[in-house]
Amino acid sequence: MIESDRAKEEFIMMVSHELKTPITPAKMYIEVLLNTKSSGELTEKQRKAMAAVHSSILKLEDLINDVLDVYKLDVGKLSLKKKDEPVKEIVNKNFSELKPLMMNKRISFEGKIAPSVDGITVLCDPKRISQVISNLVTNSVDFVPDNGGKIILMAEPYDGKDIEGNHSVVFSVSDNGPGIPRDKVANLFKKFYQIDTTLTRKHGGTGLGLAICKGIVEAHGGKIWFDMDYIGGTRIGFTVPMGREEEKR
Amino acid sequence: MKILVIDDNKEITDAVSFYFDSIDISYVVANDGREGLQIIKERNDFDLILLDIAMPEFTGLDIVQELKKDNLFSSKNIVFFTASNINEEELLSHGAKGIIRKPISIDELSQAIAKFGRDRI
Repeated sequence: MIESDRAKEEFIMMVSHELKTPITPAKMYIEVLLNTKSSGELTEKQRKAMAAVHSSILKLEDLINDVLDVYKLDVGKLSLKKKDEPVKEIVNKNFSELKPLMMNKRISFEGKIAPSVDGITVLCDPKRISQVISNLVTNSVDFVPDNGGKIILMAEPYDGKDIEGNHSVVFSVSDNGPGIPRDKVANLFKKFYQIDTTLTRKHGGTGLGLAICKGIVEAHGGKIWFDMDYIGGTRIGFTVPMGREEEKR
Repeated sequence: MKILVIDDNKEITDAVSFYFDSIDISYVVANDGREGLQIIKERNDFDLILLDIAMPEFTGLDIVQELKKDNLFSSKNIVFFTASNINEEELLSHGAKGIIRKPISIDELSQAIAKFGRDRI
């Protein structure tokens, strides 16, 4: 590693360490106040205010981790803990963890597994694949209508092989949101890219989410793409190589 | 259940104390690596030791090293308590029983307590 790269790495690691340290007490005090018996002493208004602070703290934490992930992907230092993970497990686990995002909204959320991939495994770091799915679903929740939104998380077989020549499974998240304008599609997975960057934009974010998804998928040897109009909005699909046992068959 | 918390950041140990007080757990705090090592050597009654890694002068890894030298390490339930970005395998290779990443959530902390606690939660 050349000297300037090392300095850059040290700087990024130091900044993220220094940012995470002061968040710790803030997060802990709030969680204690919200979760333990002392929360009974809070008024409903106070409890709501604390919950809002808590959610802001979690967002800040996510942002710091996003910046770190982008850096690690850039320099090829994202470490993956790969194992054979059942497709069913990935879909079901993410489905139940993400369902609460639709709470208080009239959004229908479905998890589907094509019968031909129901019993098989994929070779992946399940935490990182969940990060991709969660990113895609969170985007969809942001963009579909609160009343009448529709999101589908699906796993199905992939026709053909991925870039490393492996048989793969396609995971996809489809929604009935506004879709993506044709002229914006090419930049969709680029870092810092946002479709609407005007000051009046409705949707926040750093523009790192899809770039991170792409990085994680490619680190697994898979590919990620965008389809139009699957159920009227956006569909983003990505491949994950089949597990070692499946390849032998 | 008795816990030792070693972290040079007083704001963090205060917040951790606030949590332990709220669930009636007894704990001891050391805001300095050397002091922490001293306490571990003098007392043998901690069910769990939460150990920060980055501390000035005497780090969490220095403490691990010293304990290993004296054959005191393997019997201790040491969980690293860190905001560092070092990956999990590397951290666990030092022999800690677990890692809690900062910003800490009390869910993770209560899981560690449940895992190592003998008599409560």
